[in-house]
Amino acid sequence: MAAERLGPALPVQESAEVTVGRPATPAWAPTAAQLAPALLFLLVFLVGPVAVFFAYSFWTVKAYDLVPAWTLENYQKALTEPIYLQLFAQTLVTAGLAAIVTVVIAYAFAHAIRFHLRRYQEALLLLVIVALFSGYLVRIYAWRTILGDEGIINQALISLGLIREPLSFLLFSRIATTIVLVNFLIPLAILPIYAALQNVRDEEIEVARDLGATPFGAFWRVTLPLAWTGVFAALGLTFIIAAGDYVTPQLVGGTSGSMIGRTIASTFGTAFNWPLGAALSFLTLVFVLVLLGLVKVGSERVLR
Amino acid sequence: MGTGTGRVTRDDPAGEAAIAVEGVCKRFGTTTALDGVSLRVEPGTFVSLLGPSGCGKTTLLRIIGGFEHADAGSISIHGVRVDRLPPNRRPVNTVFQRYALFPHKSIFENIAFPLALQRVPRAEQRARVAEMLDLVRLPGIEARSPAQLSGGQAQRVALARALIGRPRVLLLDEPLAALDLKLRKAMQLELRRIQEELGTSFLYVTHDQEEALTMSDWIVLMSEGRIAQQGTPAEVYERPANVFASGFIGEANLLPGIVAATDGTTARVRLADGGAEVTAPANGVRSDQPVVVSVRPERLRIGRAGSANGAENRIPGRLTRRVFLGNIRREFVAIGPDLVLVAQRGVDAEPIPNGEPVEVSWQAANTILLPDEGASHGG
Amino acid sequence: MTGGRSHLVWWLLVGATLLFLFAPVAVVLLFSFNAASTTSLPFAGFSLRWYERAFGDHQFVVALLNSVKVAIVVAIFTAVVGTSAAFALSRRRSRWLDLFSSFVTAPLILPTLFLGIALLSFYTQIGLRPWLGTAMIGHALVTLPFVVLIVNARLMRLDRSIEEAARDLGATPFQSFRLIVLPLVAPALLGAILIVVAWSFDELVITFFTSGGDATLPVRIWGMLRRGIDPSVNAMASIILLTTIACTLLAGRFISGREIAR
Repeated sequence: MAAERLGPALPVQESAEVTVGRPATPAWAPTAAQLAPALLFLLVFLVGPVAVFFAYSFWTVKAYDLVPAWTLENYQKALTEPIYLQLFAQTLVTAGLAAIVTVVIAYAFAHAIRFHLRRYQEALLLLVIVALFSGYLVRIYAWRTILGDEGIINQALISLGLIREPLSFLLFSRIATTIVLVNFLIPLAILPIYAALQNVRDEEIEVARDLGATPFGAFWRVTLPLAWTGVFAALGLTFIIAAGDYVTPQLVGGTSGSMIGRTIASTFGTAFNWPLGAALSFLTLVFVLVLLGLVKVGSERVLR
Repeated sequence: MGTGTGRVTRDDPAGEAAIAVEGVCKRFGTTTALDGVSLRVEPGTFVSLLGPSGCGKTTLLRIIGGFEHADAGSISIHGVRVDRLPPNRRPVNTVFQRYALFPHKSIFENIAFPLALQRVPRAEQRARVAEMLDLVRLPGIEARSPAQLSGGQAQRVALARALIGRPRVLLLDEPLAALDLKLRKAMQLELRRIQEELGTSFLYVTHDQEEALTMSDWIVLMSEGRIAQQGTPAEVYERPANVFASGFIGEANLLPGIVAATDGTTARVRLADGGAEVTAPANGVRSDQPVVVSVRPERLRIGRAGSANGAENRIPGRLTRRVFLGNIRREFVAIGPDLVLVAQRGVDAEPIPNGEPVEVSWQAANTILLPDEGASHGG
Repeated sequence: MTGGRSHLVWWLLVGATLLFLFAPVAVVLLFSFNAASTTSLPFAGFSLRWYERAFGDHQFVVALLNSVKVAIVVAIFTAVVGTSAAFALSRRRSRWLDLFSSFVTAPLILPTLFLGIALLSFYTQIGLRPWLGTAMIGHALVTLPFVVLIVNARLMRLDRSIEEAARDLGATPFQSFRLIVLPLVAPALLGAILIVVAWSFDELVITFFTSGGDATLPVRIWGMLRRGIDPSVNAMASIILLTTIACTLLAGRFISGREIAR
């Protein structure tokens, strides 16, 4: 043993120079500096606009000029005039329907690629992302070519002899609005659901099956509750975006498939009533968030 | 062990330490990671920082490397205060647990990285990389990429990269933890060989007491942010200073009891469980003091009741279980209602059937009395 | 485990969904090459006449160039600001940083109509005349989270000790960033930039409300749609589609779908 020749750890004498070993700059300083540009940008161009927009909802228009009247008149108008109430109801029903259909299809798709076609999940997921970023406006107007009286579906059905007259309810209707909303919302819903299903481990489902659950039982009692945050996120996101859309009702909705977004957009265009448009916007957001809150509370009761 | 090391001796306290840590404290939020730690690493020695996970050993290493800053205290490396220096300006290098090779660079570029930063001429880079790869016994792999290496090879490359700048001190953060047992054993000897060949001071963090015993000149045992004991491997093994050291380094039977009598050189202890009496060197204990009796399994002998031998301590018991471990046999003997002793015997020893009454015996000199911290401080 | 039959059922489901998703895209692409002047079946043969007509339209060319300008500026801005923020988020954990994350992603969950008219109100209030530049701000607002999230995901997967090793071996913070971290994060950043470009090229609503008279490609198409469908719209739309699809597919080479899915 070389032990005796080795330096032992001598008790270290108290150093006269007792310093506190701290770096010259605080540890969070670099983080703050890295965050600053984004934070500043968001404060100015996100918080600023939302604040101004909210303020506008209490203003009025006089002789084509915005007047800071600080009145609840716009909200009163939006909540009492039947035309707006009907539009709100129509919007929430259509958007809600679209969101639910979207989430059901998206769940099935995500479930399929996560659990059954996992060898191809990367490629299939990439296709979903391609669909997500390919053509919002283009996609919507293309449906006119598909659903119109002269459109692909009607022409196909006529040439097959299934119908004589074109099905005119396909376009400019609530059905059209719903189909088109679902069409561009599906990719948006697949991503959070897929991400949530990624976090459900195979063993958790296998254990449930092993303990006697049927495939549906395992889905209802294990997979869905575990993935629920993702499913709910998808539902919320698609509902908000559908309720706030105006290009879809404008292009394919007609009268019966109209939504509040179209009216809001027109208050910022030809109708020139920004304060009313702002009030309608915030009310839509409030209605949507309240409904989503109810869904959240209800779902937590059911999925235990 | 230890040839070529220990150029500074106990008699030369004025010699400057490779690493001198003084009163280092570190808190993360409300948890105290280091609570006034002081230690010295003598030049050219292999020192292990040993302790269970969460004892603060890695934090201490990271503070020395410059990746964390201490709340209080100082760090000197070869006499130079480095507390305020960033990692790139400290004369130490680190080998990380998960190798930390740069995945987008070749092995050559990885190892030559410090040289490239200093704009060392290309020819010299090539020569020194080759020299380092020879040292870690992986010659000729310059062109490969890190992804093509096994865990053991990756760690050797990381070692070569950390050593190419010829640091006087190398910090190693559980570098072998990710390797399998067999490879780990081979790498232990390999690391020690390299350390002796270069004469670099190594500060080696590990939670594996066997690893620390195998490789080190000096072991610093840490527990809950403090140093529990330090000394040579033989010292910490043979003369544990406290219950923690006794239990963490090697295996030990730890039997709580009360000192019944002591004459200053030997003491008699009454075990709390079963009431048997044990004789041991006094080790400074007082009468009526609660203590823990520590005996290594390999010091225990097991024989049929009444079989005579010269051991001072004899306790009757009953053999309850026997485990075969290849080269040795481990036997469990119940000596009290809730007290089981673990003993170790060679495979050739006479087999005794389970349930037989036996006598466990050991020599007083092989018994260590430790203050029972749990009883005196309540924690 | 699962029989071939049930596999087939899942393929049918996935196939039908993809067909539904890509049908409108395919319709537009196909009709852009259709010789007939109505967008209805049957096909009248292959022709590039609608592309010729589109590129003959001065306003279309201006709109295309505007789209390119917006995409480039927005991509550079979000790449720099977003990467910087992603670094901050990946370094330490705190409630404030979580809060910041939700703040950054907020524009993603708001309808673009809401953002567009809110921005328009803001610009009006502070006396900023809407033009292409103000539209860029709206684009940056929505695309910034793509960069932050994608780059942050990659940084989180990066072993911190790789950076520490670089510092330990003598690199300054800047050298460690340039030589080690940036090359390792670059693919994710590139993927994120491509996603930003795809999104920006396709954006209609925010641009419509905040660009003043300056039209981008979607805004130009939107204007034409109000006047009934001219088949050259299909050609213009196809140019958007081909750009965004190419960008997204290319992005898929640098980042996995899982990184985008989060």
